[in-house]
Amino acid sequence: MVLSKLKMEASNQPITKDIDQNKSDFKKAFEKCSDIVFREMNSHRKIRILLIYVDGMIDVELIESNLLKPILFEGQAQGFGAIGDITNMCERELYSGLQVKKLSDFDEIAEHILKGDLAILADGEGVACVAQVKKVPTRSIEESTSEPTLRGAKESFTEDIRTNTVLIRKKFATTKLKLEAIKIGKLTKTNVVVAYIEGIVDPNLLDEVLARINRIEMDGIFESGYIEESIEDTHFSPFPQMLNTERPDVVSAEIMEGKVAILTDGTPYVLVVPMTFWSGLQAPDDYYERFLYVFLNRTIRYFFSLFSVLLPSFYIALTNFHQELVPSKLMISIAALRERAPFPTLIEVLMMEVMFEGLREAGIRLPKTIGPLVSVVGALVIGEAAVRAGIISSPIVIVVSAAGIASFIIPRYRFGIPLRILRFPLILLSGLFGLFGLVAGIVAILIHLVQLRPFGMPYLSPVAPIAGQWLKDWWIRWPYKITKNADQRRKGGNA
Amino acid sequence: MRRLCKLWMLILLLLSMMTGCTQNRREPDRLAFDMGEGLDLTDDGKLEVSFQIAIPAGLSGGQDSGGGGTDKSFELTSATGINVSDAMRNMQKKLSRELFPGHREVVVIGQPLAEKGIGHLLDQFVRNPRSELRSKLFVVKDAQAKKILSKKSVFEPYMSIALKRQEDVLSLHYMYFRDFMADTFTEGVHPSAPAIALTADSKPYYYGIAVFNKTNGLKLAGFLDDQESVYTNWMTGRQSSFDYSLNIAGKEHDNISLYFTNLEYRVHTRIVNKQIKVDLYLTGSGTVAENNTNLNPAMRKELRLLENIINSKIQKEVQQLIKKVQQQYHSDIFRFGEALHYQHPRQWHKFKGRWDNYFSELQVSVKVKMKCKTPGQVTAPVELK
Repeated sequence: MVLSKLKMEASNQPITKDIDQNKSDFKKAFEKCSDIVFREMNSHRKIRILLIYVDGMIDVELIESNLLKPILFEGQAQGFGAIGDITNMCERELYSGLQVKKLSDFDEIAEHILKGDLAILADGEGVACVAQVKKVPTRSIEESTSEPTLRGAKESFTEDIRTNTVLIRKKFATTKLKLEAIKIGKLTKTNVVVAYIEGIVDPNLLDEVLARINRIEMDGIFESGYIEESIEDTHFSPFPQMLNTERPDVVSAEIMEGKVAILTDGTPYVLVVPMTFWSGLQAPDDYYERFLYVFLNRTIRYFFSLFSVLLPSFYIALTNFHQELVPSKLMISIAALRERAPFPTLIEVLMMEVMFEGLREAGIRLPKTIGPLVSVVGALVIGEAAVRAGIISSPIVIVVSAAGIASFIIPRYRFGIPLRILRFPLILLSGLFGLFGLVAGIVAILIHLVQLRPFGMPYLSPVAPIAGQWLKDWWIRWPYKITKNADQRRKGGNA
Repeated sequence: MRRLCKLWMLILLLLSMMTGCTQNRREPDRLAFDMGEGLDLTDDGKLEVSFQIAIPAGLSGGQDSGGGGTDKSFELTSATGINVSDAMRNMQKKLSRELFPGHREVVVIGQPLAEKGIGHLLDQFVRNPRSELRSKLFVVKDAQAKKILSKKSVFEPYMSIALKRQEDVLSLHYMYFRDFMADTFTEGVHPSAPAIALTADSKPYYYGIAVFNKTNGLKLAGFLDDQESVYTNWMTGRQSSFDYSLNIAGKEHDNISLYFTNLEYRVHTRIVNKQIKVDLYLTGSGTVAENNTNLNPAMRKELRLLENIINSKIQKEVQQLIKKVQQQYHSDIFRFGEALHYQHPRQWHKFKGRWDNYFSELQVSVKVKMKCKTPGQVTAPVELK
């Protein structure tokens, strides 16, 4: 990041006892920050107090009723004996329902103010009382848009990290669920929470994750993608090395399997590490629906993901190099449909693939109201007109759109991306060298996949290397009664 | 990064090995698909190869994508040459697209050529890497091969596919070219191939079996008709079911038809006093399809009677067939020699040199055991009142 020229030095200066001095210090620090409010008033014992907060980030009503009223009018409640100073009074008595901290470090107080806390400074006291009265406008919990399911919880994460931790915490009634907080980003000081279940998580994995997160040196973190890119093993693999999800049920299930979740303030997308190839192909409903249905669904999904990578290149290899492998009638039909085609098959497929990717991208970027237009134009122009005009032969349209649809069958949208990327080199290989090139490409992909070990976990596990008990949830998700192993493992971990 | 380098090294290595492949790239619209080949002897004794070449544009029918504007689904063209490859080369001169034999469904041989011998023609079909070994082999009785291939089939776009489907319907196992070759190279077996003939109004139909004798240049020895070929196929495991109709007690309207399935055969060879004896067991089970006799197949006793009649009739016919092949054709198409070879491998060398002589003298006892399992959908015969 370029911004690093900004020196962020921690001064560790304590605040003074003089309220005027403090006020001018803070005023100086918050110079030209129009949203910072300084409010000075006298308590009922005529002590001058100063409130500093960010306008719009605090709950004004709460302050009025619970804070200002006692200080200004009522004073200290009966039966508590003499309390020397305002901050003590605030902390011990008035805001028992709120989180209150006593701080004396200038920078620390300033940071709390910026995060939405209310700072109360009293004349003659060298500490400030910082009360959490944050009330930031947030989105309410809504249904997941990028990972919809037919069955299972509808809720999804929001941008507020506190809401997100609640969504996880409320699923577990155990002290073993740990939510470790880390602040990263020199300017943003973004809250990052690392969630895991003690006893199940592999301590080495946890240490590695924490170490990698702590090593991040960035000025700002606005999305979990910043973290993902900073801690992933390699940038040059098309395959994602960690899962990102906006579903609390997915995160909960994953950490129950011993994985580590990384929640980032400001984004609903939570990272789960480490990820395997197969978890990219699993949907949340796989665990909610009955097992037979899930088995068939997964079969379709695995089959179609293969389809998505291989279909166009396989088509090219067969029709251009190995015509004898295609059933006679089909081969003649394909030849008949190609009679008028002006371009070689390879060019046709590449043209259509690029067009398809363009349509997909356009569908994401367009405003929702004119989104359907793209599909209409795409289907009409590319599907119909191109074939009628004789620019593209119709089998290509079938092949490319079938492969495209197949890539969208993958429940984790982002996992479909590597499959679509890899399609292109495979198309080139098979267009130039036939099945031999295709097989060479597949071998290269497989070599890459078995080498990939995000956070030490083999990417293809439990298939390569074979991990017996986890195979029960690889293709066929056996009924829970049958997969006792996983439960025993959990129990063993908790004991 | 190191891994990435390794990956690229691997890809480059593979790429460098694949440099020869690019020349093989052929768009399907640059190919002339050869759907069937016919081998014939011209009047002046030359080899003539006919190619049934698919016209893709003619196949797509009413679709607007076919640009050719022709309604012919195939074109039959012939070329002569000193051998098959030479004929193919001469053929290529007449075609603007590359001749592609990968989809050759059938190889049809005309009777004149078959009689002259086809031994010297087979090499190309197995040696040429572009050849298709799964082509089915047929012999045409009393006609040239190209006459069959030039016919239009009722259902199929090409006669070659129709011939193949015809075998399907008759529940025959395909006689692939490679099977024919294998029989040619197996000791104690003479090859045979399905035969087709033309009806009076020149429609092709399945005739039976063409028997070859490989001792002298793989010449056609003769034909076996429909019923004989059923037995032959049964004895060699090429057929799994057949329909059978017979008259009982010699009366004109006392006939019965059965449908036999689960056809099994077993050949047992014995050597007694330097004499070879062959026991042939034929079994199967049948369903009564039509019963115009007064026998009631639902009655156990009458069913046994029926079975006995059928067994002895089939037994007699098979005996006659074996005798005919032994004496007329001298070609062991029943694979008795192969059975002897397998069952008595040590003694085989004594016979293999003169197996054709031994075959002609062979004593074959035939035992037929057919079971009528189901009497059909009704039990008693329909009685007219």
